Amino acid sequence: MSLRQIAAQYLPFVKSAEPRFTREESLGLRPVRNSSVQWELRLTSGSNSNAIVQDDEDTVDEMPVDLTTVVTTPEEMPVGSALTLIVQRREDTYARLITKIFGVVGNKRIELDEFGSQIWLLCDGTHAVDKMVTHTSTRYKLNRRQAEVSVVTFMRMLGQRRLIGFQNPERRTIEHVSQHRTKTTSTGSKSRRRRH
Amino acid sequence: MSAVIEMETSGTEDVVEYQQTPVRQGWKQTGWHGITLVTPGLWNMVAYGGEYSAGNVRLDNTGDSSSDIVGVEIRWTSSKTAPKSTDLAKRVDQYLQAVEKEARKSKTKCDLKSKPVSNDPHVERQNVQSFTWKSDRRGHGRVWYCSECKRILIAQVVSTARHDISGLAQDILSSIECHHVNPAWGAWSLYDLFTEVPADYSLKRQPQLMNIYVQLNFEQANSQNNVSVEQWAAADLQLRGHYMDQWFKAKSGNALDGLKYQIVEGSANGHASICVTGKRTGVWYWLSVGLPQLAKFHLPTVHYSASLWECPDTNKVYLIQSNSRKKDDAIVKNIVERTRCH
Repeated sequence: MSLRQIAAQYLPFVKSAEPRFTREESLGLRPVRNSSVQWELRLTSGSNSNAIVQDDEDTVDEMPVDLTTVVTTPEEMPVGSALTLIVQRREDTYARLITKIFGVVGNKRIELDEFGSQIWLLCDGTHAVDKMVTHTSTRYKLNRRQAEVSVVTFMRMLGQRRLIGFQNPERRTIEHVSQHRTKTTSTGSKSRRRRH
Repeated sequence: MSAVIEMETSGTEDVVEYQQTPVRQGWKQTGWHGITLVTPGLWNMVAYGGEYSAGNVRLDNTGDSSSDIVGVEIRWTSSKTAPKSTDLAKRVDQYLQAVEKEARKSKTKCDLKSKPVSNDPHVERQNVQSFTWKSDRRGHGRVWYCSECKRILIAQVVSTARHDISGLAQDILSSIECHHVNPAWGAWSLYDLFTEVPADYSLKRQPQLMNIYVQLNFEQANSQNNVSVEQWAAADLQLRGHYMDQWFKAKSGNALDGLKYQIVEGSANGHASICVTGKRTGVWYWLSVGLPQLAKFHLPTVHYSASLWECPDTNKVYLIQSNSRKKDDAIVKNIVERTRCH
């Protein structure tokens, strides 16, 4: 660890240099979800409460979707549903002050589309980015290059919002993970929807 | 489909000869400015530039998870007169000298070879030269002049030095066609989109490349007639809960303002489709599009025609649109037939 990196841990005005990775290293990183972020199931637009559920034998049934189900893998997600991320706000003095000044109420909610939801569920620290690209290109019959661009762009967005960190199996470190450093913003509970 | 492959002859050591061989399974065809070639399925276009008269294109394997990059580069320039064989040999020598210079800088051993190619099945190709080089990387290339499309083409397959790609390079290089079999049409492709448009249509502006969306725009020479070919991936997500006509209206948005159109159901490449035909009217259209076109002494492109279909096999949605000054539904129909969806 360099002197600058050590200093960055204790001094907020010293920015540690962002780690640089080759394409192969980037594809080998394993995204890990920020443990303070929770999620819930919701129906996507164009779906009704009797969403279509596809089982293992590729047969299609119309079944009511239980939105209280806790979904942890992409396979568990009913067709026609997506996830809403719930980002808990900090509860320290500074955050309370900001909340009072700007009138921010409640947690921040981020609506993901079906594609984003599938990727989010794969961010469990066991799937490398490369595996996610393969999953996406197979699931949506996408050109692998297009799938890679989609997944990497989405990963970057999640990383910038500190919703995920990246586990580097070679260096045995976690890059950009800040378990309890979820940013408090003045956007209130305004939900943001990822578009492709 | 068959292609040609070059092989060393036992009789004359300084000349290479062609042999017929089938293209490998899983390979796909790519087209750009009339040039087509067949490459491994995971290869994609990573760079392009120029136009029909002079330009370049590069495809490589960054689509797969391989760490060693292998790619093919093609450059072309138009030449009204056929260059002499010595001129092409000179070009190859100049290129090889540049490779040697680079190798010397990096203090790597360099091995260069160039030979004329005999028995090329393409009678229109003149002065075909083959070359190979090896330094810190490895390249197999070919250069020729085509009397049909009046262009000089230089194509080479490049890889890392540790991999012997001679077989792969031969398959790719011999699959290159510098002009369409039917001179009235030109092939274009991007990622999984492969289409053909009339040869007098050229690329209007930079293609749109988004994560799941690809768009190619073409404009006819000496007129404002234009055609666009669009492809959306993840059709199941795109169309979920919508009929195709609803989706078309939602996607088109303001583009349908001032357009009097009718939608009929049809079929495209074996899939259900919708065909839209109409005519643009209204003050806004004439002010924004019609009058500027008239000012350029072109008849306004008031006639609109489109075809939209979903290919469940590849999970893609295709939309082909045409704006023309004369009512011509055949152009969209012909392009639909020539757009490969599965």
